[in-house]
Amino acid sequence: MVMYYLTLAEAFERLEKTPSYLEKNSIIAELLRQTPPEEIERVVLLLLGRTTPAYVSQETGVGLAQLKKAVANASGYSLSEVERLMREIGDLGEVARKLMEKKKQVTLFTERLTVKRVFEGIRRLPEITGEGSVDRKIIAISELLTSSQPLEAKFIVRTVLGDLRIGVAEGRLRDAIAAAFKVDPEEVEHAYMLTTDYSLVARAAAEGGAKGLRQLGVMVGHPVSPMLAQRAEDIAEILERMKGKAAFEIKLDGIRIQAHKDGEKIYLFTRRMEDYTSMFPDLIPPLRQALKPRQVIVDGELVALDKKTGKPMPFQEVLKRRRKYGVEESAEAIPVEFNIFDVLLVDGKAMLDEPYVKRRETLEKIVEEVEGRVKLVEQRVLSDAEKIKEFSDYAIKIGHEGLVAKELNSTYRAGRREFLWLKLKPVLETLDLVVVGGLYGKGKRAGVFGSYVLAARDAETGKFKTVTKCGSGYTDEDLVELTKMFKKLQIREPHEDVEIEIDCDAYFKPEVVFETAYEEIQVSPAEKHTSGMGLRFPRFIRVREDRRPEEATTVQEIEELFELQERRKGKRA
Amino acid sequence: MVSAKMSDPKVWKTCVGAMVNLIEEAAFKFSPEGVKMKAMDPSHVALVDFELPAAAFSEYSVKQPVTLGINLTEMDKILSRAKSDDELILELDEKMNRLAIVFKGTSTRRLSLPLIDVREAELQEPRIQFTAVAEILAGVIQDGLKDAELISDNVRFEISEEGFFITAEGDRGSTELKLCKGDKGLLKLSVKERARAMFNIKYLTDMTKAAGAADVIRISLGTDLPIQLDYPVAGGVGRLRFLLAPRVESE
Repeated sequence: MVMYYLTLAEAFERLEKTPSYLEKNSIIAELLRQTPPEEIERVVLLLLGRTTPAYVSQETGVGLAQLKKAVANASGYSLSEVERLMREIGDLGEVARKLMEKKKQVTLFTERLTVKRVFEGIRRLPEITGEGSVDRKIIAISELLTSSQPLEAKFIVRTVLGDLRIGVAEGRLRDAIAAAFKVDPEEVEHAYMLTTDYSLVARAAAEGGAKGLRQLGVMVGHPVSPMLAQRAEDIAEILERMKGKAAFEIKLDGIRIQAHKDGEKIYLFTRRMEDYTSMFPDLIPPLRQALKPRQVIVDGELVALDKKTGKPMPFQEVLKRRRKYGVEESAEAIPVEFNIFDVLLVDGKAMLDEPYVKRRETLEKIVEEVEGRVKLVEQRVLSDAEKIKEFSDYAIKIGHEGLVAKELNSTYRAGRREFLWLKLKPVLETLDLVVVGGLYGKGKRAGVFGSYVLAARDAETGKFKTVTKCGSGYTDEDLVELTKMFKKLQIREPHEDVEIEIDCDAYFKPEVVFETAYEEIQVSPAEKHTSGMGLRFPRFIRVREDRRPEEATTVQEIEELFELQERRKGKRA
Repeated sequence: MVSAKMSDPKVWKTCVGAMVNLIEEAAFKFSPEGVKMKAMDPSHVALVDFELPAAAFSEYSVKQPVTLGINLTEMDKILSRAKSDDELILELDEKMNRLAIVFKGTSTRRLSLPLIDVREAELQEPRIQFTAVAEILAGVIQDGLKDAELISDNVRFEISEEGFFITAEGDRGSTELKLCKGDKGLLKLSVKERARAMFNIKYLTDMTKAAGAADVIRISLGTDLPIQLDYPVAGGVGRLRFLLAPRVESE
């Protein structure tokens, strides 16, 4: 059964027009229901404005300039006319729609665009390389646009630009898929945690309902949402929750990486499900050597050691250098070491439901450590509070964050943050907050943003709600670099996912996460924050490049911290 | 098997040279009757219709119909290596999945290029009621287009009882080329009804580029309809035809 792209474009238009979550939900559900199963993956990806799942970095390699040419070609208008309208409307998608409505160039023949045709046309753009590739890309897009209805042209242009703007975030698909195929949203989410790909999840639900979802498992090459740890107040809490005994691992200060091995192929994914394989080519041969099974997925922390001090370096520094000075040279100067602590799949067998002890045992069998490159995380099974304290002190002394306690019988709960893993970190609690607005500085700080408005994520609605205005902790250099970065994210009005009542000089797409320190959490502070809470003496620590906004500290977490803080105050009093 | 020989490489070379500006990849259909290729440019604005019957070749041997996908840019590059007194032979190398282009002259040179998969759109060819036809020297058209290019992206073609006109209007001025009955450049004129339409210059330039100045191009026109250009190929037995969609004139 053929599905025409117009069906999709019409749904996109309705999605764009409605701000209502429920209505969006039913539009998507209705669309998914009328999609033939063999088209459902394409439709889901196109809904997300992509042709690949999010963990595959996708660059069409087509810039605005080329797209303008394609629009000019297809509509028969001059490039200057396209540019004039672009200045007036500000959205090339709308410009394309307008021009296609009154196009000047007649065609000899029109074909009705199918979903497949549009999807494949866009998907193949990055494959057009080499001599003349810029022109050939323009031709390929013109070809799609030529056959487009005005509305189709609008969304094809936006998809190629990577800016669909229909307000469909990944999280929204969970409920829509559940509604479309009458399955439990929890099961949809779980299937997503295992595959990180709503297109696969939707197809499984469409074809097999709840049973289909349950049949989806972890697959090598597809990142799995990592299991996360809750934070423990102290050792006593850990021992209480873990019934007197737990496995303790050093909580390393690096970045969380999931390594997949499939024969000779190695993939590295971050916590944000980004493919970092090309960032660490130096790790590939040692990993091939260390991981003995033909197919395996392991979870671990990638750490950079300072050659001089032997202590871990802040990983931001490592990533920055790799981007700035080139991967090869930085790999030489700052070697990285992968510390494995879990295993999710071995030769086709999923390990997630095995107890922790069994997984650790398996790890010890399948990993052959490679000096300085790949090793297992240091782990001790302890029950004695003093021994735990000793281990924790040792971890901190060698430059790491503390310990993670793991319940001995716990399964691997992909994407969950529960009490089965508990962080023991004595450092000052910091929050990971999303930057949503900026205010220009005065005096010495004139011309740059001097303070930023930070928001926490509401775990229930997914909206970002403001928590504080943070104007300290930045070096002069930070201020300049941050301003540069945020200018690129600047938008005219507050982003649709942001709830903000503070007047800003600039609003930003909610993409960057600041690690922020503070003195105290307050309820109903003097500033009007939509979260209902505020921070006293907020201080910028760093940009958390390894955190996605969806992973920012939630409003609910801050509420918990507030309670913890008040509990402590109560104890002291 | 496919083997086709031409004593003069010019025919094939000119045809490919005229197509290459419009389409990048082409599916040539070789059958016992001859070679055919029909393709639309990516924007669906222009159509190329090419046909060379077996009789146009000095030797021609095709047992089974077969479609060969060719990158025209690559083929054009290879053909530019032909010498004018070479014989040209096209040969399918099934084992390697390549098309060999052989130049036989003082030596025998064999250049081959890989066959590719070409997406064959099902073409529903428009049926057009042309109302006027003129046969014109290619050089005249080329001149008219070059003039018009100075001031506009578009050009108007007109055929009436009086003759053939190429005009252009723009902010930068106007141009006019007039070819009246009896002028040397106008070989034939047949008008049922006066016809005029506007076209993109770039397409027309691409379509006429490969023609020699002395070649005769047959233009069929209808008001606000596509234009059809026919080239004489291999003494009239073959066909190289272009169809180009018009532009909308009014605002």
